[in-house]
Amino acid sequence: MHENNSKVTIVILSGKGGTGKTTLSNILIEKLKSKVFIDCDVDAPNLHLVQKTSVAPISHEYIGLPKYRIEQDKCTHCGLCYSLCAYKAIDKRGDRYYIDRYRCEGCSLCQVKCPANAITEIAQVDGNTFIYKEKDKLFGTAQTNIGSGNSGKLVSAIRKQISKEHRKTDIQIIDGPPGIGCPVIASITNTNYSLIVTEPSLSGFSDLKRIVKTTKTLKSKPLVIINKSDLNPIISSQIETYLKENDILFLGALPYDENIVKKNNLEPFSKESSFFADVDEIIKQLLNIIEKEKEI
Amino acid sequence: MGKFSIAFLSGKGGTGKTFISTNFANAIDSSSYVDTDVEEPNGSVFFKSDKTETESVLVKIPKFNYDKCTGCRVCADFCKFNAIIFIKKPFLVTEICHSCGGCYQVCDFNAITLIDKEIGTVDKSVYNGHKIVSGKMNVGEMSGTPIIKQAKESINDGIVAIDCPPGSSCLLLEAIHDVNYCVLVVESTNFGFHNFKMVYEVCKQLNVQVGIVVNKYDGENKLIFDFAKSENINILDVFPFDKEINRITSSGGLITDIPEYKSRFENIFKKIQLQSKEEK
Repeated sequence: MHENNSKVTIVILSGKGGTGKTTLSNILIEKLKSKVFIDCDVDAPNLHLVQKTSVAPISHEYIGLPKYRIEQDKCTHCGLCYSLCAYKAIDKRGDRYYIDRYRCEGCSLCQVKCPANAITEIAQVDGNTFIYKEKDKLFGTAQTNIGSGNSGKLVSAIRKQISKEHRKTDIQIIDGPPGIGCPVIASITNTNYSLIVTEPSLSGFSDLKRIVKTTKTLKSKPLVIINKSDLNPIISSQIETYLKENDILFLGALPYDENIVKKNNLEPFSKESSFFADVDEIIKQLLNIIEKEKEI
Repeated sequence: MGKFSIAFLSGKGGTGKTFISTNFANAIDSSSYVDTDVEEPNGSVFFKSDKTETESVLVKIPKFNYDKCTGCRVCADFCKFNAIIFIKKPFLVTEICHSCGGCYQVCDFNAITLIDKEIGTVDKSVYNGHKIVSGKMNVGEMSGTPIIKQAKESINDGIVAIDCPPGSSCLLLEAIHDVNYCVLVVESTNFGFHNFKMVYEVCKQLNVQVGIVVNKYDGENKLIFDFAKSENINILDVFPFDKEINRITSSGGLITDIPEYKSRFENIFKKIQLQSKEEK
């Protein structure tokens, strides 16, 4: 368990992208006074664009599995690597073979089997982690390098680094990635709640069902918010019905607010918008749920 | 006819990749559509069909024959992914296995066979003459790369619209592998712009032709336009944020069923054709 410094860890998810995960994460961090938070959308991180920090981040390279290269002067053109590679990562051009570094997953089979010892390892930086350390907040973020296949491992790495700082917080917020694959699974692991931000569209609804299933297999309790709910009230109410029928906690709905979209990353949120009254209501609900479960 | 693949990508999720690519395929005669956002595929929401052919996507995982296993642990030592745990005998952690087949290759005692495991499906259907292919990963699986490969291999000719996954990881690279053109769908927010630059870098590195469609334009944030100008990138079209478009799309409709929008997408395609001829 890496989250023993936090009483409760909440990961913000959505399945579908662009429903408002980062915007909501940013609001929750402020409203819940979270002192430890991480952007785990390592393939397209954005939280650092809105989290104003006064310090420079401490950065670490993340070294994943090496990739491989064929030394052309040693290669005897036998084609064994070409026929063995399960990822079709070896290109044949004329009688020469080349390894496509984006397709190579680093299994090393070609190197181990090459009768001419013509294949060598190349070290691979798969991404970077960044930690912003301030007196009353600790913010972690990370970014994969282009074409990296180690997003999930990078998520685990930044979470581990943050946990090693031993900062205490009541609620840790994790801004999660879209989808349901390895980085999502690594983000959900060892969290108490998965706060799913969905939107009223057939696409958003279909993705919601898949992410709910994913959170349940990882034993993180799903809680749902419908964002931009007024854009399609019919589908919003269909989603609410689905949640009720499947015993999934519904925290509330938020309206589409043009100002949030326009200003989300340029300036601090204006607190006069009606959007925030609904946010406060949702936060009240959320804290109630956390409080209730503590008693159990 | 040869194959001309156009990928629709964005970095950030929810900028309108599926919106633009489904409408593009719907507007261009005899084109095909391939959904490679295998974690959360939504193309079939728009291309409804009662006749769908489903094929499994299978990968190979090892099965240990303990009668033949001598406990030499060569397989466990070989596995770079640490998917084989060794406690007197080898055991597979299925979720971590990357299906490289290496353990099978290095075992000197024929104690390993490779068996099929389904990680997802590829659905094929036809919608108004358009071939529709949709890759879908099973919930709980780690990586959908083989599903993307298989989905793309289903179409061998004609104009192909490839709806990509978000991000810039291995999944995206597989989706844009060997495509002829990349349409970058950008939302005019700071988040959208930041993630756009990441995928633009990917396209530059791969040396593939690009054009931009600005979506949900708010009329204010000019970052993308300034950048396109300075980098000399073709802006193919600009769609404002429009509640009516949102209503149609969120309910599973295609705006290119309206003639005005159909001609706009035909125009986008003309610009792509022109650019790819010129730059050749």
